[in-house]
Amino acid sequence: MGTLRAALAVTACAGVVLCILQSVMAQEPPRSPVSIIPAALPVSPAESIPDTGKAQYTGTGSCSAVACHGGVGRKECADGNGGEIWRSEYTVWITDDPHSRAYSVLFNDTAKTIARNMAGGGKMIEAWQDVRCLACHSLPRSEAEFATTEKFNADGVGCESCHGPAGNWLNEHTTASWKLLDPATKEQSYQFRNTKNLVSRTETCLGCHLGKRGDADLVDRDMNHDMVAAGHPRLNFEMAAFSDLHPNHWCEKPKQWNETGTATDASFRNAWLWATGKLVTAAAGLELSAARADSKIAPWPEFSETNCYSCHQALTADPVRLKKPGELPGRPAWGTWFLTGLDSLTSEKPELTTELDGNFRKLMQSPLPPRARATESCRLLAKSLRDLAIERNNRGLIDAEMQLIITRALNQPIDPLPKAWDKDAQNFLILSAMARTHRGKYLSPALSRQIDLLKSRLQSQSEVAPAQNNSNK
Amino acid sequence: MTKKLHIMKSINSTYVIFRMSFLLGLFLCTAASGQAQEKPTSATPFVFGAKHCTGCHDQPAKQTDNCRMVEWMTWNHLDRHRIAFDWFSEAGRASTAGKRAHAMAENLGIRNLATARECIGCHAFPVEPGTPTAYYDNPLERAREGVTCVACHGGSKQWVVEHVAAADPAWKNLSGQERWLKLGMVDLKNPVTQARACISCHVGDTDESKGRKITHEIYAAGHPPLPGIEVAAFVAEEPRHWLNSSEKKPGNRPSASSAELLAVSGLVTLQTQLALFEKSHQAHTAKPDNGPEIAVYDCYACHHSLGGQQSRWRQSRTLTGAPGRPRLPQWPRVLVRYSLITADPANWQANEAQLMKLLAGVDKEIAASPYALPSTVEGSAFNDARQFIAAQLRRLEDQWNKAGTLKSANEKANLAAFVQSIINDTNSASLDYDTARQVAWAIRGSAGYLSKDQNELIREELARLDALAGLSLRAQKHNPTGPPPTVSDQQAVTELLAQRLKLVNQWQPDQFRQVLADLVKKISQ
Repeated sequence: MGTLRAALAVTACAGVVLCILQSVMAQEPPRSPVSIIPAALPVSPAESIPDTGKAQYTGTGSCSAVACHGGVGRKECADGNGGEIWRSEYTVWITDDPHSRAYSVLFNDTAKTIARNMAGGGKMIEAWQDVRCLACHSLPRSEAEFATTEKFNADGVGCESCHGPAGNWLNEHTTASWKLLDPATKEQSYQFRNTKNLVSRTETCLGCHLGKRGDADLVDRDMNHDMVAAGHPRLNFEMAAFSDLHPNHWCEKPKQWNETGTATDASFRNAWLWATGKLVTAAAGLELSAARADSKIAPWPEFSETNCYSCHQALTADPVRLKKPGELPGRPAWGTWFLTGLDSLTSEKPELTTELDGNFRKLMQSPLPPRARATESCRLLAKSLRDLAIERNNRGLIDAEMQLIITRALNQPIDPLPKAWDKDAQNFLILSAMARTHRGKYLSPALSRQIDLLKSRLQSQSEVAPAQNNSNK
Repeated sequence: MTKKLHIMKSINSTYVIFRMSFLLGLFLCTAASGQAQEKPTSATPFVFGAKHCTGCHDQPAKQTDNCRMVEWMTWNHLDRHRIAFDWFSEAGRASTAGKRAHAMAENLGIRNLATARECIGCHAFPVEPGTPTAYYDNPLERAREGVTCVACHGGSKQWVVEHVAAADPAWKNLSGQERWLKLGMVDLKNPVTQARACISCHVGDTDESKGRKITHEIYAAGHPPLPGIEVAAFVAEEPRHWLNSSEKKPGNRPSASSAELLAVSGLVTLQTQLALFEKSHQAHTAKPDNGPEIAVYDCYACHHSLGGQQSRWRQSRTLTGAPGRPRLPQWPRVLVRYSLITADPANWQANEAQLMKLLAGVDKEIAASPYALPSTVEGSAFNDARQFIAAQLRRLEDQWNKAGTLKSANEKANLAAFVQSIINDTNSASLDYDTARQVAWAIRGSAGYLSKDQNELIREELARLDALAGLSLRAQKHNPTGPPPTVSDQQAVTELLAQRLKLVNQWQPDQFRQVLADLVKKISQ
């Protein structure tokens, strides 16, 4: 854990608030391998379904009653089918979860520098008043809602940031009939987001930890290179590691990780989170690229999508490196963190791998990819990757597959730093996720050695790590 | 007259090869360029090794009242322009710089460096597109001599033939402009033209026919980053093969002084920089698949290490426009004030305010999105800045052509006030390495105008500025009586590069500002 903490110092700005609020019901929700919408609802409280066209936020104050989620204490979770309500979710969040401090960091010196530099000599907007910052450092809302619900800003990233606007489900979720609904219905009908399913859970985290544009109900959440240049740490996300660092306020309910209920043991969480998270992150990264390319106002090309070290390398008089065949001198490497380490997950779809490494990469690696072509290509691939993520998540990970993923990661060639930093980081994360899966079942001497090697390589670059200046708590 | 015949014969023997190739179906394209009217009307372009200049320009005994007649020797023995091509040759391959050149060629897919226009345009002489390679890549022509006489003085057959009769009034009475327009000899005495000649390679040239455009692909293949140039400082460090005005007998055309070169350096660089920027973006608009030309931006806007205390100063600067976008190099701007003082001593403050406002507008337009093409329509900051700069330079050029000097009655006072003012301004300006180097060079250059006592006073601070910014362009002193520069000097060039980049990478503007503050204190005491 200490190892992981050290290496993740560069990325850990915050975790994600996740609660599982309902207890296990005797009756399992209906499941369908194809659709996430059940064929029939066990209970139909039609009259109580609110108008979901408008989000109704209530703030963390409506959750924090001692008898609801503001109690004290933590639960010891069993690896089996958990899901008990802690009743202390709010307390864990406010005391241990960095998300609760997301707003207050907007007052520190780094935030002041960023705000000053973002102004570019023009009129400065304080970070704590700038919707571009508040979009992720407080409750994500629409532009209009930001204007009318300023009071929620100070909550930071609270319950509704992940679980959805509570006005739509606050009353229902305290009733007995609520427990009869399956997570997909709660999301469809009540805007109570499905954080149990690992695909939608990852997407919830990624809304901020990667970014999302073009959401009809929310302002754009886009931490781009402008902000990095102004002083914001660069984003870098991996679901298993971030989940491990996040102080849980729930017990995992593995049966609801996917739509088919094939998972039964919560101790496999890291491996599942890594595999599903990896594909979902890749899809969301491409979706964001597409939205940026498609936007009239977003900068394009978006430099934060490329390897930092492609450009940010001090020039030296060192001997010239000969290019590999086909490599074009002076082209930055694109998509290095969110598209790295996918190969063991996409190997069953060779056409996807060919496209990712072939013409598509060539297009995206040109200094200024044409917006229309980039939008179309990214969107197409994002859809394929998301479909694959759902398919694989529903299938679940089997033991042989995990062994294969580990073997592949162990056999990755070691490339020169600092350019290989993103690759090393992703490799380190996958091996760490596997090492911490199922009480150390996959931990071997070779795995430990490789983790140590990668750790020392990443630490040796800590002086020039892409987001080293991130130490604000 | 015999000499003239000899020269013609020598040229003609080479020309035969050219003509033969020509008859074989190859032809010369004359460069179509926007600057056509400024080009000589009857200059026959040709390539010309320095060997044609020996026999006259290696005869110190024959010194005239206008010419030292040791030009070839100075260049051949002392001038590093002489070895600019050596790195490309087989003999130079073993040296550090040679290895770099050949690795670069491999990365770029260049099979023969001696015929690669984009390389020899600066490392030897510009060759018009379509010129048969046999014409310049042959042992007779000795293209492999590097940056030879004609690379700067003009590669035109007419003037080379005509100037042999130097005492002939028909030659002697021709003005610098006439020599250029009629015969294609570059008027290097005019500081504006001289600065343009240097900057044509040391920054770049929009004239495609010259092959003097460095691209990001060339950099990425291994070319060292071009350092910021301050023409007066570069010229001061070049082994001098010409006579200063004070060394000439009256009645001869004067050469530009160090202060006069300082007065044009920033403005000419700025003009070239904006022109290159526009040109590269026009090329991108015409062929979007090629992508924008990244080499026109400030290298160190992107190429710096991340994190740590060392790069903290970057985020404490105040920049115009959105952060995180490629920016133009800022260093040419710091000396522009002196150009404006020289061009119009009465109105320079208003002129400077106007130009700086326009340049801030240019920065904003360029930072509007990554690789944004600024508007070139009437009324845009980019367009207006270019016109403003061109008008100021025309003023300086006219002044020189009319009076043969840019010197005003108050030159010394103006220079002192200028240096003092940029020292004061550096507290607020974005003081990157290249900008600081411009400032330091200006201080060092103007020290020549100070009294001996004053010079003694600031000696220590100058040494400190040198240690921080690396002012010297020479790693070692050449021995004037020693052998010509060779591979060992290439080694020195590589060491100098390593030294410079080390200074860039450890750059801390506050250290530099401290020296300037000490300097101010000392001067005002």
